[in-house]
Amino acid sequence: MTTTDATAVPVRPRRQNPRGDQVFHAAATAAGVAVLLLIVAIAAFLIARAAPAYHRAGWRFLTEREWFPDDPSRAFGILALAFGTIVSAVLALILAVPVALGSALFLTELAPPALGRWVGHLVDLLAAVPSVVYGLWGVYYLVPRLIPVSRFLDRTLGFIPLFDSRNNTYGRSLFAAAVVLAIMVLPIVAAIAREVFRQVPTADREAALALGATRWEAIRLAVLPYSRGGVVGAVMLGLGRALGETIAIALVLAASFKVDIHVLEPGGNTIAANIATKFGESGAHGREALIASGLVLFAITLVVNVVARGVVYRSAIAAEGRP
Amino acid sequence: MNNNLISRRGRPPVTAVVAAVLLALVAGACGSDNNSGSAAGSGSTTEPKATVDCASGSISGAGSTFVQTIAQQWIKDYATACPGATVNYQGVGSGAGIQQFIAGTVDFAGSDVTMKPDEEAAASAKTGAVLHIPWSAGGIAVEYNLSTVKDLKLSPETLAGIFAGKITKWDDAAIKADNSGASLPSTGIQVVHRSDGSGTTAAFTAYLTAAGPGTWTAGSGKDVPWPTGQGAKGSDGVSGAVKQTDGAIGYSEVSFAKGAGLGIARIKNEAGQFVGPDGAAVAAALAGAEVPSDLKVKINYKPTDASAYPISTTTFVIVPRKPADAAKAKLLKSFVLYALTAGQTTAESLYYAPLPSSLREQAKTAAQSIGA
Amino acid sequence: MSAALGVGLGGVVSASTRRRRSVVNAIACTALGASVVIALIPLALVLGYTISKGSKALTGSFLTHSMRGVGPLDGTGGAYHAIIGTLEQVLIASLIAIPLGLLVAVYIVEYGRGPLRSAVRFLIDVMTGIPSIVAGLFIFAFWVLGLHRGFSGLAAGLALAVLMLPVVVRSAEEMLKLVPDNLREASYALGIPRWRTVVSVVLPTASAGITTGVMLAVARVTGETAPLLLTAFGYDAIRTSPAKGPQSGLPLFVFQQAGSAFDVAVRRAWAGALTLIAIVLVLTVVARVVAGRSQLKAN
Repeated sequence: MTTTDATAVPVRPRRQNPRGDQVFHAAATAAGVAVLLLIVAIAAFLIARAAPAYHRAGWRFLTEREWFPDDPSRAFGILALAFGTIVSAVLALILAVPVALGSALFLTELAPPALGRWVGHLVDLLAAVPSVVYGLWGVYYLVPRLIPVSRFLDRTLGFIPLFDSRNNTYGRSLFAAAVVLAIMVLPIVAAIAREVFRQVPTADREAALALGATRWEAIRLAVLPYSRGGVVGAVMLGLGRALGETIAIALVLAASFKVDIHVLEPGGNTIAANIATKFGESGAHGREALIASGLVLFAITLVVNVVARGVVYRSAIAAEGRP
Repeated sequence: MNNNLISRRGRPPVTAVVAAVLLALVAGACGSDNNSGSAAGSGSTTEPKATVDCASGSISGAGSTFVQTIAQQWIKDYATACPGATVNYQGVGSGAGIQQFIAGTVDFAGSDVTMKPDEEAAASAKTGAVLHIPWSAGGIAVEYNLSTVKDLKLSPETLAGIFAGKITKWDDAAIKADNSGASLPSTGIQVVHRSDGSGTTAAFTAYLTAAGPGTWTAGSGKDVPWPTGQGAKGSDGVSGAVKQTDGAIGYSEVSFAKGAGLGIARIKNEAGQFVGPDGAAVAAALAGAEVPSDLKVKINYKPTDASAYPISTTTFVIVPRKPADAAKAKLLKSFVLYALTAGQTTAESLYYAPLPSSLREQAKTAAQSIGA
Repeated sequence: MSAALGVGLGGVVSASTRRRRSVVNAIACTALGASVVIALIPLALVLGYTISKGSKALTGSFLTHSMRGVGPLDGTGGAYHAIIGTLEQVLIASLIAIPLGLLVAVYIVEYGRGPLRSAVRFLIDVMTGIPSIVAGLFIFAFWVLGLHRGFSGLAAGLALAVLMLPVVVRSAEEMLKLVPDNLREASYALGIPRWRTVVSVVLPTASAGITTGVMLAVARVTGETAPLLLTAFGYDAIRTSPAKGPQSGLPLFVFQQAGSAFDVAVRRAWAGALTLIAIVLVLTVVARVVAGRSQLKAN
């Protein structure tokens, strides 16, 4: 089987075209360096702007829940925001990824190719809906209809704190936000995954089928192992969207600054939504604190991506190690 | 896998082509800036042109969302009276408006609160001395969703108790005492407040602090540590949440409560009268405000006038005393003066309140000094 | 599963094993089919809601008029200025982010090595986590204030490009990595230089996937509201030149109109939302057709 790592090109071109290659190589490298500089510039700008806030808050920035950066008598910190960001994004992925991968597999592996393409484009349409529309739809359509679902979850699974609502109120909760996020993440993961599955060499798939595997076995044995890296990449892009989504969450969540695993209860907040809701009325200190919170979001994305890269790397090794 | 792709040439940049085609299509469709032909609006009062001392050019401002609706009306009416002038106002929030004013990216800022000393110092360093001119006012409505109660009456202590989370049921004795004879349900009270920073919140919590001492202890400001309830973004969000939730209570500009068709509570003033937030009641309340010479109005949340609605507030336009650009200075002065004269008459149809006459005269004097 | 297959291949197929495998297969295929249906339900709901709310106000006059001189209670006015703004801003962002993003992806997959490649790749990952408002903030500080350019559609295009870039790079990278090495090797064997191989073999092979990624990136930034507040700023009248001053954009238009107390504005917001979705839809379909045709031609 061909490995997915295309960076180690085993055969060099026989006849070099030094000038063309040099120019192209230089252009590509320059683009890489440009991006590097851009991100360094953004990071430097953000760090410079955020530094006073870190200085003011000290270590409490990491442990404090409330957010009153413009009020010298009160504190501000990232704890509740980071918690809500991670919980809502993880819940969204739990809801979205199985559906996204399942639909991608069906459309590439089982459905007739023409149908698969057109239904795929339909799913892509979900990405065409702007986040402000998801927010408005979420608040006025989805949230009221999720209340019975939440109540059902509370009644049947309420013994687990995650599904418990202590005062039996539901509505604009982290759960509702996660559902909206899941819908927004779904087309991204599904679209990339479809393309990834489509790139699986037909020969691999056919070999499995020829050996008597069922369709599902062919998927498990030929398609999924080949596309693992790409699928993780797709999920990471979805996660990036979920972590950074701003307006829709700002509209849906009944913002509160609690660290509370009872996700069916109204409340919760995320870093990005908090930036959007607090930015308009922030003073100079408030803006610095919001930028400082944006940097924490960077850090979260960074950690998640490093872990994901590690997973892909190790699974690639494991796959190669097998005969 | 395709085997014969090697012969392929690079394809044209698809998106660019698509976007260019679309752009050409739309641009070719002849859009129009002219919306005057079919003025179906009811809020537009045609002003005699003679009262407007026109200037021309273009200015832009940003800030308070509170004032945005009436500013939109002023911009329309001013442009009708003075076709050579363009005024752009974007409601991005008072704080952001002040920041942009300091940065010099806008010519004026709309703000519900006065600048802090450090902000004013930064702005003065950039543009020279600045003026705070109160240019509009409004009441903050206490809106509620109770199908059985058409005319809710609340005393300041009860209101503070509800928002402090100390009164949690609609049939609480304190609410009953304010509403003798009303059929109050036993449902729980769902408090809805703003999740974003807001001048509306600042005024509302300032009122609670003044009117419910001992009961309301969360302080006042654009954002406070709410003891109870759910947040919602924007006045539209608060009104929407109240409308969706049986037994909910919230606060917003009067226009949003009216727009959502919600009940608006009457609040007991110092004279013992239960008053709703109509324009005259707000103007009566603001007549009791303390107006220092710099016009940084200090609202009196316990006005003694029997017709006053106590949860009333003003909003400011912040301008440079001497704008660097003489043409802009002229337009700024002309527009602010327009807002303070003819502009005040449109206030009530948009659920704002006209400034009380004494305050308006002081504001006009200040506006006259722009660029002078 | 591989044990089951091994048994099957060995020819010692018991009836119960075969039945179990076919049952598992049927369950799995049903589940996959069901997930397509589940994915389409929210689409139907969101589109249905937006159409029912937006179609009432979506008139010819809405599409051809700006908001200049429209009072708060007027039912007139439209989104023409915002449509123009959005198209220009997204075009600017695409012209910057797509070529740059593809080059970066080519760099990462085909050319890069050592710490520079790791650094670029790593930072692109980090960049996917930039909240949109922070991108707006950066352009605001750098371009609007730092270079004294003021608010403009161009500034908005730059902010959107910052958001678009990592999505383009990341999806293109995934697609390029999936191009089998034997294609590259075949090309080299024919004596085709490396850069020609990338341009003529690798990129076209991955073109469908890259188009998908690019369209996702375009769709995403077309709907962004938060960065526009800090860059395009908003403007009620038509402004065709993106560099000349404040400009509106459709998401910003939707956001502002939806925040109004008055029903006439909220109706305009939904009409704007419907227009925005339609624009992205048209962009997507046309891009697919163009990409599909170029692939057909190649075959």
